[in-house]
Amino acid sequence: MKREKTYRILGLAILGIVFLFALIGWIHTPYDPDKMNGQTKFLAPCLAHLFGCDQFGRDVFSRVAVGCGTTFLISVAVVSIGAALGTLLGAFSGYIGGAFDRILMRISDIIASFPSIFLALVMIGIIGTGTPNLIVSLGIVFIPTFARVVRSEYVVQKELDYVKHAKLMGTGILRIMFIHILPNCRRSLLSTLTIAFNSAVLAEAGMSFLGLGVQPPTASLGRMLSEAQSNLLRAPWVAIFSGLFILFAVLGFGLLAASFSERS
Amino acid sequence: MKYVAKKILVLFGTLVVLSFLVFVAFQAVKGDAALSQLGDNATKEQVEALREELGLNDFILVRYGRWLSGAVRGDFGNSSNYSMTVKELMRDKITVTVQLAMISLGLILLIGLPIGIASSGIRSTAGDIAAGVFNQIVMAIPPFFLGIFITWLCGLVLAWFTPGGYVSLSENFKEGIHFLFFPALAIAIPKAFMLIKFIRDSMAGQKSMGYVRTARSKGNSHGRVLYKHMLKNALIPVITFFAMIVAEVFAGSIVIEQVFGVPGIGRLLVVSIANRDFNVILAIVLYIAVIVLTANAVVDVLYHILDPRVSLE
Amino acid sequence: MAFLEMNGLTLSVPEAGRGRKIAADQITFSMQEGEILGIVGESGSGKSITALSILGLNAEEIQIEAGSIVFEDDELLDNKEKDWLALRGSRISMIFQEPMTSLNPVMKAGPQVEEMLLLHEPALAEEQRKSRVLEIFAEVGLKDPEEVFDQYPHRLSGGMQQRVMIAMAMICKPKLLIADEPTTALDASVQDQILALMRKLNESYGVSILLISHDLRVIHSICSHVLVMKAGRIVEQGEIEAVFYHPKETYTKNLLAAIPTSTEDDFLKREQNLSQEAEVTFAVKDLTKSFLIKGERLFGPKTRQVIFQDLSFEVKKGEFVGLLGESGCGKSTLCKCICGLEMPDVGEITFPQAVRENRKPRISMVFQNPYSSMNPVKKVGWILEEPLRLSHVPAETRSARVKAMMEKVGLDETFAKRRMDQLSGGQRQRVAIGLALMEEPDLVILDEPVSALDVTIQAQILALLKQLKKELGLTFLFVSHDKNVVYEVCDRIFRMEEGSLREVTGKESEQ
Repeated sequence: MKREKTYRILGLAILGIVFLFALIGWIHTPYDPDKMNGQTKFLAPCLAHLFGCDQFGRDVFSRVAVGCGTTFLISVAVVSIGAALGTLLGAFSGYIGGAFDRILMRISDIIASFPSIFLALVMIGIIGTGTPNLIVSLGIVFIPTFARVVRSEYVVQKELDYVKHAKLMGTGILRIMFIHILPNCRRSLLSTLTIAFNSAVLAEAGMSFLGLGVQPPTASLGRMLSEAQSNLLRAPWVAIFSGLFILFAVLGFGLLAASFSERS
Repeated sequence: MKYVAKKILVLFGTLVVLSFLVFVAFQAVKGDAALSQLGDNATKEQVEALREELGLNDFILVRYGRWLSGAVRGDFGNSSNYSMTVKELMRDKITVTVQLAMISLGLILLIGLPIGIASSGIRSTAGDIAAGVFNQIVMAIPPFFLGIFITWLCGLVLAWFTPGGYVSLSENFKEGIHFLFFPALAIAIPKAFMLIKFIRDSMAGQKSMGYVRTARSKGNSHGRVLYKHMLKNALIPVITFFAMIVAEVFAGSIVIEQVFGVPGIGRLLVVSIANRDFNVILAIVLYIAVIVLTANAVVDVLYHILDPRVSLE
Repeated sequence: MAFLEMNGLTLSVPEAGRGRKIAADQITFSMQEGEILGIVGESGSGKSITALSILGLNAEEIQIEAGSIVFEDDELLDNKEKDWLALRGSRISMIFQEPMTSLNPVMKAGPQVEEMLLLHEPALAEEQRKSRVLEIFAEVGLKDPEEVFDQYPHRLSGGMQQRVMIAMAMICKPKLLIADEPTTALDASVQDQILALMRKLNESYGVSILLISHDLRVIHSICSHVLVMKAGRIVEQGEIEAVFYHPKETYTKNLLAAIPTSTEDDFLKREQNLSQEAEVTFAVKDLTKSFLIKGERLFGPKTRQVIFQDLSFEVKKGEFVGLLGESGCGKSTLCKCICGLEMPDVGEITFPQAVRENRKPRISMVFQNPYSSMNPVKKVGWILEEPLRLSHVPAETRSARVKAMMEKVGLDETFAKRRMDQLSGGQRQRVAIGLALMEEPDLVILDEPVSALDVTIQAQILALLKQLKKELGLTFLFVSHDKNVVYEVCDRIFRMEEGSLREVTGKESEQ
């Protein structure tokens, strides 16, 4: 009870901060995030530049804000693809069962045994780098996550008497699946959503860090971190702030996920 | 025994299917190898002749068969990026990555098991929440951020090792271990805390079980209930979790090798993807698949041996 | 000084919103050595937490507000942790409702019992411990003690598991045994054996027993004294005969009256309002059903298990027919075949009226577990409207018909806006019945509709069914394992045993 509440409040508060930055990034940043300035090169955090400046004199605060926005948008796109297709696939697989289900689950078991960043790398290896490709690859990677959760819910739910009731009444299969059963999966779906967001943020940052995700000049937190690496001693703040915001986003969703698992 | 045999059979089947799918996918996106080898000025006939010579005109299954028969002998063709065979390219790097992974796994167990078991005995609610939040924070640290932090602290500030440098273990063990230990630490810390969380959750899940109440009704002390009764029940699912940890360690090494400049498989994979060096990618994907799937199969068998409720038949 | 004396014990539990709720209020009773005392009450009456507090085993969120528990001159509520550890298992021990989950699944049966000696008689050598365990195993009626010793709990049957639990509880020869619903999870025949064993132990060891049960029949069969609890209070207490045959309190009277007591004789003597109509609702002819089950070997052939064979019977319009049988006799499968959820291997089931009107037969069903048979996230009104929506009844008529139906099954119309998971078991079962009657069914199958309910709620639902039977003239098939219930409400009864069917007519002996 208490644990669930603490986790949820903390998680929402942290996500609120990240979201606030994302909003700033979308609406108005104090400086042009891509504008280079020789005079502010390696400038330490001060009142004018709260998070300091990087090796090209760009304002880190503005770049972090834009990066948060990018991360948010990519994660939402990725998770939507995974959730929509995964739920559909999992629902049919679980409800219909039989050979279709066995094959599908065998495949997603195998896929799920690989870490998402590795799968995303393979997908990128096949279809190439760039933001749209990153979204598609990560989206596909998250399909099995949702499919497995939804499928196991359907396997349980379809045996419950309320579904038999519905069948006896002559309810159509699609109506049973999506009007009767689906609302009963909302809890596990919600908790899977938070877990998926948690790993999507991490995977996006990781891919961008490796230079295989968001391409320059678009600001992204992972990319900033990898660029900051070579100037660690001269301007540690670039690494600290970009890294910290990745951590915040991951932690926020992690805490929310933990609060959901406490509840059940 | 039959169960084990079946597992091995399934493992090989899965590997074949998986490699076939990746092979086909790569063939589809690879473009014409003959064309790229000869350049744009080649005549149609020249291209056709080379295609024939390379066997590119054969049916996809035939080509896959040829690749597979090479692969089982360790021959994965040539790298297009480096002018050497994939086998030569990978040999030393596999050793490095395996060493890195072993040290990471050791660290995960060394940190994760004792802390996980000890911290699941915390009885006060506040302490438990604090431990849980701390756990979440450590798990949320992106491994590359942690890697950069360790580089900064241990490499630059404390100067325990030279960032960007590397000495292999076989060359100089004492010096080489520095270049593996710190990357391993960066991989291990978040995963160790995942293990801690898993153990804590598993133990917490046992608390409401009937047998725990029975154990208390017998006059067992809190500690005895925890360690004599709950621990074994709670650790059985942890074994399945370990397969995931093995997979995560190898995935973690992809990124961490990049951060620390460790010349392993992970770094090679990233470079090869950026250069679309398909023979190398295919070999590395297969290599990681073998490790992950084998770890899963072993864990499955172990689970069946350790849990009396599921029989091996 | 009494053996066990509880004085004004008051316990509180945290409530969903904030604050605390009293769950046991001023519990005062005493117990003599060698006595078997029963505590009876419906779910939520506070009987379990009262008993658990004697061993200090209640969950942490349950707080003791006031009172005292004195056991053999010791005030238990003053106990320190180490006093509790010394008390539990050696002087007072306990057995629980679910023997399967009460035993440690990864520990063999023998060592679990042996642990008691390890804790309370540490001086014993290993061989002595083992022989003591084998001895007590024989004592509690386990046929092959050596074999049971080395088995994991899941390899034992429910009855054997409970015997192991009893062996564990008794091995240190405690003065008091607390048994919390020890027979509820077991089959009827095993229940009697376990109760007999407890009576035997009471006589031979002189162990006092505190037996907690919701089942008055269980209490009556072995207890000498009884406490009746309701909503955290003791309503009545005294000697068993006095309470059972001359109850003073209304609640006790209602509780006793609610127990269905009809016997076969009552049923045969009762004038049956058998349908005079010649119209057959449904006819079952030569019905056979079997399932393929996995063979012993991995790739070996599957074997066929016959559930029932060549069943034939007819049910006429307006009849209330009972189908009586123990669990696993095939009655559920028969129901599934009748309503079309399973296909029989051979034979046919016909509904003449539906055939004549050239439509599918309308069969509705009420299931046993009211918590899984209704969609928990939907509102009552939505659920009751669903069949009408499916047959395209216009929206205005729908809500009027739902309202009428809710009145018929005794639900206030405000319930329409409530979600299913906010309803109690009895209310849910009323919704289920309402749903079953929504569209003039040819047949209503009631599959153990009252088995999961508390006895007073059970009586209310049975009364509702009797009333509906009279009002509506519909055909019902009432399936149950509880013969008293079946004898009480049904007009005709079929008994199902090992896949064969026989009608109860009082003339069986002649066959």
